[in-house]
Amino acid sequence: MNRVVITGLGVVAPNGINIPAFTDALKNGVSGIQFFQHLKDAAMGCCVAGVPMDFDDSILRKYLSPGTFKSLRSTTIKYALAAAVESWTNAGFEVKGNDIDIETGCVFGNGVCDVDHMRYAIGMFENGDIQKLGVRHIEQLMTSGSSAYIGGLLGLGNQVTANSSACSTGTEAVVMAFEKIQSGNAKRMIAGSCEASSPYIWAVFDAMRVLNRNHNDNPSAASRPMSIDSAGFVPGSGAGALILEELETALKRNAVIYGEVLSGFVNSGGQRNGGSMTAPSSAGVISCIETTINKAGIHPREIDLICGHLTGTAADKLEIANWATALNRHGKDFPYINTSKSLTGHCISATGSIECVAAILQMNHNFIQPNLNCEKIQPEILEIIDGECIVREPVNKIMNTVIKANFGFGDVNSCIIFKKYTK
Amino acid sequence: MERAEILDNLKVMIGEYVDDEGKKKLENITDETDFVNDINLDSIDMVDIVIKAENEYGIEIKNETIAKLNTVGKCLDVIQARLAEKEIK
Repeated sequence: MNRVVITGLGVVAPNGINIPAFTDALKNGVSGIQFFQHLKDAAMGCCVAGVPMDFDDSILRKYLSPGTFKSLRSTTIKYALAAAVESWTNAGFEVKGNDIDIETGCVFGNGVCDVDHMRYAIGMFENGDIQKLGVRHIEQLMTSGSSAYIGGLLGLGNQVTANSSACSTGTEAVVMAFEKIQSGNAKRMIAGSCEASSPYIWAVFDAMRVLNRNHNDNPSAASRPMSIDSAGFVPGSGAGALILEELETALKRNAVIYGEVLSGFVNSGGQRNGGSMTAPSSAGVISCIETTINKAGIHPREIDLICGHLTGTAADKLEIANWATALNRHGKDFPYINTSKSLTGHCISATGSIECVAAILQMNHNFIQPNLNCEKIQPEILEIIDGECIVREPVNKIMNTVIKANFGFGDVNSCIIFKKYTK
Repeated sequence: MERAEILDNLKVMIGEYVDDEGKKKLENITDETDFVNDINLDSIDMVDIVIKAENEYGIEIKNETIAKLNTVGKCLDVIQARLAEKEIK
């Protein structure tokens, strides 16, 4: 089986809209969460969100034809294209040419299309104006819109597809790309996921009472994973993209290697044994993590950092318990653990890919990003692990092995292990 | 409002979310009855029931409180407390 390495990274995150800005934000614990009046006007309980505020879609103008750029309404696709192009150029490739690259494919997922765009199309229908709508909408509203736009821009001739597994989508995409290269069916894959800044989606979570309503006057304090007074997650948006490449191909072209993917696994808890549409089955989560570790052929003690899912809801303590059981590491023996959600909010279907990028950056630059707003840790968590494992100030540390997981509605799980590349 | 009256209303609301076996169990619920483990209620349905109760009684229950309402007794305590606050206001 082929070894798979990461040779390119791209990101559009609430606290940094490219890799250098995102790296600085992670290192310094900079929050990208802000108050939005339009959420308050819509009578939402949670009026804060993580939105890539400085994102300027004009950067796409030089890559797209004038007609395509003019008709591109979908924020989902705009974020995806920006992150994918950054990862592609970061890997040393140029965006040009008419050739088909049959060795490269793309798995780029999302939960739903840009619902604001869908609403626009529905509005035209409702007003009897459907004949005035134009022709460039279905390509943006289809689930595979993002991967199709990326594939077209870069001339990708291998598999070009979109996955969709709720909050597990991003990490699942990276695992799918890894398996494709590992099995010899592609030399290179762009993997990632994206989420639009849509109040229509966030409002549905607000109605489920899972968003934090207590910090509308203090946005940077709103995302509080593992904190004693966490009261729900903060919605977010953006995109993350990674270039995964067969080791041999990467070495041949002297590519910069950010790390190796040792293993990845995706499963479901079956919505049984405590698992449901919205709650993860511990057995499923533990099995997913254990299988990933076994496939990597490492001992759990080799893991330096866990980049968790950890949203700031009542599920955080269960997640910690599941990690401790799967790794059989407790108390002071538990690895460092963090989540970039305290800085970005929960970017829903984009979260996994943004957090995979964050995991690679931390491993590559030897730092651990602080968990903001976790001055007092939930006592139930402290019964399982030592408080020092939850990093609250930036830490510089040589790290060789990082494990990352995400869990999504539908009781679906994905887990991946990154390691510094060594010959 | 009396606790028994709130409990009766709560049973009607829960009855819409449980199967026949769960409905039978509803007849014998106590303060200690666990919604998920004892009457097979899905935890996400519990949120829906709390929202119904909020609308029924004109009260508001905080998100972080909802996550802790795993038993009948805790649920009744919170509804009664919010109703008392409402009367004071």
